[in-house]
Order: sequence, then C-alpha cells, then structure tokens
Amino acid sequence: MTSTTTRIATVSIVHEDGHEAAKEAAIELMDQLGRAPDVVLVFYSAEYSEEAVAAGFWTEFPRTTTLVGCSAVAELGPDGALTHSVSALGMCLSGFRARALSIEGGSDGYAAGRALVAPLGEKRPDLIILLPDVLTLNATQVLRGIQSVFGADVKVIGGGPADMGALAKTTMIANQATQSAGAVALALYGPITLSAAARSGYTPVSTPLSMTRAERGNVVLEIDGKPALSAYLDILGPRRDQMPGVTVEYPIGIVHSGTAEPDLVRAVFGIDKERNALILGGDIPSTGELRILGAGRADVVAGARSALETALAAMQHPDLILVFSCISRRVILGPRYKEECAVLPANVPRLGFYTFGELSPVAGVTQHHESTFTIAAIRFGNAA
Amino acid sequence: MRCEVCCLEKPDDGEVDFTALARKLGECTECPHRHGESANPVVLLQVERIQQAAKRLRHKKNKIRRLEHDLAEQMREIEQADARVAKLEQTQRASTQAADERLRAQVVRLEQQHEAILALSTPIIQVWEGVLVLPLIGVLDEARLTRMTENLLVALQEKQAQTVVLDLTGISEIDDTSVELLLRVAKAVRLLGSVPLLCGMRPNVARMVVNLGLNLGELAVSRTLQQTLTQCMMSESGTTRNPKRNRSGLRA
Repeated sequence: MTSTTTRIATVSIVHEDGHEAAKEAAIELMDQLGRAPDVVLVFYSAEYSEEAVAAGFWTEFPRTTTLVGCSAVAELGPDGALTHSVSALGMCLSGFRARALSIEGGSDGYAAGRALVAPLGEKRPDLIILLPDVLTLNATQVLRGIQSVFGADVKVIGGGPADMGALAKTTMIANQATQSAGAVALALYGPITLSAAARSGYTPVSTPLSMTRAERGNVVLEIDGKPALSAYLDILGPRRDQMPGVTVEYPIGIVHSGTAEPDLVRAVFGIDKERNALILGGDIPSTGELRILGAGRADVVAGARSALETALAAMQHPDLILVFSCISRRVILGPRYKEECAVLPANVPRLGFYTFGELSPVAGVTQHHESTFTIAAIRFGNAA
Repeated sequence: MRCEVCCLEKPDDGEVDFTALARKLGECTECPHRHGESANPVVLLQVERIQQAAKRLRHKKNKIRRLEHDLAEQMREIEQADARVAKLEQTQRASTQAADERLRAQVVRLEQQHEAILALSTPIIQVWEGVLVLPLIGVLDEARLTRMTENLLVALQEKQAQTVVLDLTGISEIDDTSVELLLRVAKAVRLLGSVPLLCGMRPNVARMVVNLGLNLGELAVSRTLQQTLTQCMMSESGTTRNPKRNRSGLRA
C-alpha cells in the first residue's frame, strides 16, 4: 500500500485586476502550504480575462504545478460565496498523481469527451474533475464519451464554466493554456473516496407534459404535440416577456408520477425561434413525465441542505468539499445567494462555483444535472 | 542567492512596501544577517515580524477589497430593489386608479339599476279612465312606499283618477309598520279627492293583520283585484246604487 499525505489550502482573493488577484492567490496558497502546490483548481470571475488569471498564477508557481480552472458567475471559497474573485484550491499531494487535460473547439460532445481523456491511455483515473463548456458542447455527450473509455462507473464530478449570465462565452485554463470553448479536466490518481449528491429543491409548476418530438436528445421540438417553444411560453404566462433570461428560473424536469422531487433537471439554454424549439443544456431521456419546474428561495436553500446531508451521511469527515451550483439558483436567491453555501460545514476546506450545469454521480454513475446544488465530499488516502 | 542591494543595510527612502520587503527578504537565501555564523537573532526576529506584518496586511487588504466589493454589490442590489419598488408602486397606482374608475362606473350602473328596479317595483297602471291600480309585490318598506306615494300623487294629478286600487296579491308578509305606511298612502289619496281601495289580501296576511291587532281604519277592502275592478266598472256605469257604499260601491 502506497503511503499518502495531503495538505490542502483554499483562498479567495478579490481584486479589480485578475492578474493581481491570481498572483495574490498563488502567494497565499504557497504561504498556507509552505511550498508551491502540486495541484491547483481555480474558479475565477468571468469578468476577469483568463489570460490575466493564468499569467498571475504562473508568475508565482513553478511549471511542475498542475493548474486547472474555469470562469464562473460567482465563486465559493473559504469564507463562503462571493463574486469578482479568484478562488483557488491548492493541494500538496504525496502518493497521488494529477494531470491537466484539455480539448479546444468541436461540436460533437461525445467525440470531445473521448479526445479529452485520450492522453490518459487506458489508465483509468480515480477521480476526474470535468469542466466542459456547455455553450459549444453537449455536456451529457462529453460525459458519455469519457464513460465510453473508462466505463460508466468512472468517478466524474464538475460543472459547466459560466459567464456573467449572458450565455455568450466561458473560459477555461489548463496549465499554461487558456481557451474559450471545448473542455478541460483534472484527472487524479490515488486513493480517493468520493461521496456526492445533487439536489435541486425545484418542484413542478406545470401539469404533466410529454416530449413528443426531439432531436439529438437536447433539442425539444414538440411538447404534448404542440411546438415546444410555444408550449413553454404558454406555461410561463405573463413572465414570457422576460425571455430569454427567465428560462433559468423555469427549467424542465423529468418527474416520475407520485414523486415531488424531479429525477433529472434540464435548463433551457437556448431557443430556436425558426423551428419553435427549446435547446436544453443536456439530454432528456425519451421516457418519463415532463414538467416545468420552479422554486422559491427557501426551496433552493432546502435543496442545498438536503444535498449536504446526503453527501455527509456517507462520509462524515471529508478532507475537502467541492460544490457546483447552478446559475439559476444564484438568480433565484438574488442578493441572498450566500445563504445557499452557508449550509456547508465551516471546518472543512471548500471550493466551488456557480455553473452552467453540474456533473455528479447518482447510484454510482455520473449524470449531467442542471439547476442543482451538487456537492462532492472527498477524502484523500487509504480508508482507515 | 544574495540581493545586490541589502534592504536591511540600505533601506529604501519613503514608505515601506511591506509585501515587497517581505518578499525580498524571503528570496534572499544567502543573507549574512540571517544565515550562517553571522546570523543576528535580532535581525531574524525583525524579519519574521516584517513577514508576519506583510501577511496580515495582505489579508486585511483582501478583506477590505472584499467588503468594498460586497458593499458595492449590495448598493447595486438596493438600487435594483428601489427600481423594482418604484415600478411596483407605479403599477399599483395605475391598478388602483383603474379599479377606482371601474368601481365608480359600477356604482353609477348599480344606482341606475336600483332606480329601474324601484320604478319596476312600484308600477302604476291606469286600467281605464279614472281608475289606477298599484300592484304591490314583495316586501313593503318605507323607502319603497314613500317613492310609490310620490309617483302615485303625481299620477293622480295627471290622470285625474277617482279611484286608486292598492293590490296586495303579491305581498306575502305584513307588519304594523307596513300597515301604517299603507294607511298613510290611503290618506294622501283621500286628500287629493280620490278613493283608495285595498284588495288581494292573502289569508296569511289577513291572519297577521288580525293577530297583530292592526287597524285598517276606513280603508275599503275587497277579496280580489278582479272583484274590485268589476265593482269599479259597475259603479262607473251606474248599475249599482247603494247609499251605504262608497263611490266605488265597496263597503267601507
């Protein structure tokens, strides 16, 4: 059995300049760890330039550090949720291996997923933290591509990089390289235990509907035999005037009859006016009941609390908590968005960001979620 | 690595940048004041203090920036909330104004309807020249009877009627107040030189009159409207001449 040690530090730096914020974050991480970290995971405000952030880190870190990260609408750091920050996790790992992966461009999610992990060969990682750009790739397909290489039960967590809500451009960093499309990932090898949960807190606000025509799994053409966009707008009623921004508040859920909690949630990431269609951030299975979902502030916070309880029920003392929470929740919570992350235990290092879609295992198989609060409790080292 | 210029021996003039100074001290791995046999414990202590101070300063600055950012964020939220409140107030004002207008229109319509109902509930029918009939329906209240009296007196003057028939067929209940009001109507009719007649009293109404001990005075009463009108007709044609009877041939 290989002996392992882990030191973890987290930091959030708020600064007008992304370069200075990243540089100070690097200094702070090294200060806390006593040396340069082996692995750094960073989530930075989409207001910053990705080049500036990367350059800020590399003024301090040696080239041996593995750096992976992406842009966010809001970040989670040691003091809770905040905006306009560089929030980073630094780890000194002994007995572990880490590798940054990236693929730029492309529109075929499945192929992108396979290509992303191709440099790893057949050696299956013990954990993959995946950050796929959902504006250019179907995240469900990226995930399926990775699962086709390593098996359905490969542990994958993560979230879609975000911008400030314009749904226009997200950015990513993988070591020295930066990009604004495709996907990046951090592959970790070593004894890692994961306990993850995803909960939304959203409940149905529409009568049961069925998807009667779809294309490529995430383009919904018809709902209950009517053009999907028209059917969706009819349900929104007076709030249809707030399209397209309002779509993040009213995602689509697959709900099995007799249950209140949706089994799968999909945000409407775009509309096709010509075809009267809805474009979702991920696939919807062809079976199951479809509902439009909605939530209030209390529901959203209750969903976060439920996710935390579920994750910690299987792992009471994690070394690290990673959080991926959907931008829609930030919109619903408004100025009270910090309340959601306030449910997390204060004595465990945590890092996270508000995403364009989340990735978390359900019953051992990672699924692509949306509008959820996804929590990954992680323990490094061999189980006692 | 040794610094070209030792910041401990030749400190910079002006303000001390703690962060830069601490960084420089940390990078100098061959400083004779801190390493080797010539290391000075006082310098070591001071350097450590400088580094601690620089760290605390960095944390404080970050905290200040964060608080400033939070404050700016909250100010933006307040501005947005104010804008939302203003919009809501405007919507509420417009909505209240529209509701007031609707309400006023409804009140006017209701008043018109009420007038129409009152007019319909107190009809005055001239069955032939000289004879008016007032069919009374429902509950007799003061407002209704007052209005009926006013209309009746106007009609009496216009039509120059000699006989007024108050038909109670549509009245299911009566009390002392109603009787008093009816007597007042009858009195007004008499004052204008006409004869009031009462007819169509239902058995239960008659029972109420008796049970309550109500006095109908000299008001002439007959059983049905048909009977009353027949007698009026006969009286007009002069076929009935009975000194004990009044002009309409009915028993007083």
